[in-house]
Amino acid sequence: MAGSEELSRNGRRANGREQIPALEWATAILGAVLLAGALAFLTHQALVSEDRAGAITFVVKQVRPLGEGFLVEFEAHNPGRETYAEVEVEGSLRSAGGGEERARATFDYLPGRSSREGGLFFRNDPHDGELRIGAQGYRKP
Amino acid sequence: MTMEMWWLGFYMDPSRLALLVATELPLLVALAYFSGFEDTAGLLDAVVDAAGAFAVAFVTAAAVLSLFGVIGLDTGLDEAVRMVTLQAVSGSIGALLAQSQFGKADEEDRKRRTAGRVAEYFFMGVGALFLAANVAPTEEMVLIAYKMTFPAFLVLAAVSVTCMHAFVFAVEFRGEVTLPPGTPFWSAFLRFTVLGYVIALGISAYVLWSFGRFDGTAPEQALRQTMVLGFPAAIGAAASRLIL
Repeated sequence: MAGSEELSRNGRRANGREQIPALEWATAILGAVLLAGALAFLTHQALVSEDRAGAITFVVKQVRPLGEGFLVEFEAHNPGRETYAEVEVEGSLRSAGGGEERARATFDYLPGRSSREGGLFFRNDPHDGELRIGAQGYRKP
Repeated sequence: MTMEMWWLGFYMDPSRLALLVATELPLLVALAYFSGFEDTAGLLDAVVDAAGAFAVAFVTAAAVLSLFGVIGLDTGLDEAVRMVTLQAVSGSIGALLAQSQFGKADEEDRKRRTAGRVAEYFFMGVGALFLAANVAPTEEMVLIAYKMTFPAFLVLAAVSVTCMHAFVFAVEFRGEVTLPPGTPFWSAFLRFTVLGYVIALGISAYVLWSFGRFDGTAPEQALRQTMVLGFPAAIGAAASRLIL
């Protein structure tokens, strides 16, 4: 077995295998880091199982006139870890005259610790009344 | 590119996803060991190949999901990591498969022959996992399981097993000697086909459980879903002996 002579002659290691190129090592190390990171991240998430459900909060991003009425663009944020499916959102607009207008939107999914944007259409001007947006319910995915 | 896969990313149980990744690792290393595109003879080379494949799959998944707007700068980190990791599970098998398409070295055939039956079952497992993981998230699995009648399941099992055995003959026809000549039909049938189908069903059940399809489901429904998924998984298992 010509061990060390082999190495100098054609770049093969003592046992006949080719030397692993640096690029391959780099990719492998990256892979190992990503893998370990992902596993650690997932394990952490699995272990940190405090109160999973969270109350959905809403932030109005913009109100603008649209066609015959108005569009209220909002963002719904789910602070908990639990993912909600088919989230029913209802907005109610109480105008000064005492009338109430309602509008609905549905989100396929509102994942945990995430936000999704949506919009509600109203005929009355949201600036003239009291606007409230709330979640009505959800389905467990 | 299926949205059910993306959604699984954020509602799948993180511990099950971690387990799926951990389970996949030895399969990846075995796959790399037996079918890399270099004359890799050592375990270290296989581990390096497997880790590299995962890196490629992970980065590619992140890039493609970003390109399609599925994840972006405003996506929660939780969501993004889980979505990308799930895609990387089957993506890494694909990355290694792509390497093996560039010609099988004689070295590989020799290794496979000496490794024998165990290697074959590993390949079947990988093939089954690859197809099962891609197809299992879809709603169609559940829907088909509901729609099928009981006799139809018997026919499905027969069709699955027949298709698998057809692959055995295709492999032999191409001149690959994996069975000694004169092996009786029943021997090949039991050892490759039936056992392969069992492996495919096992992998299907495991994948379905990982994706939460069995939670709160009656055992009968779970079995139906397993058999439905078992059909593509069985094809994957049988085809893997041709492709890998």
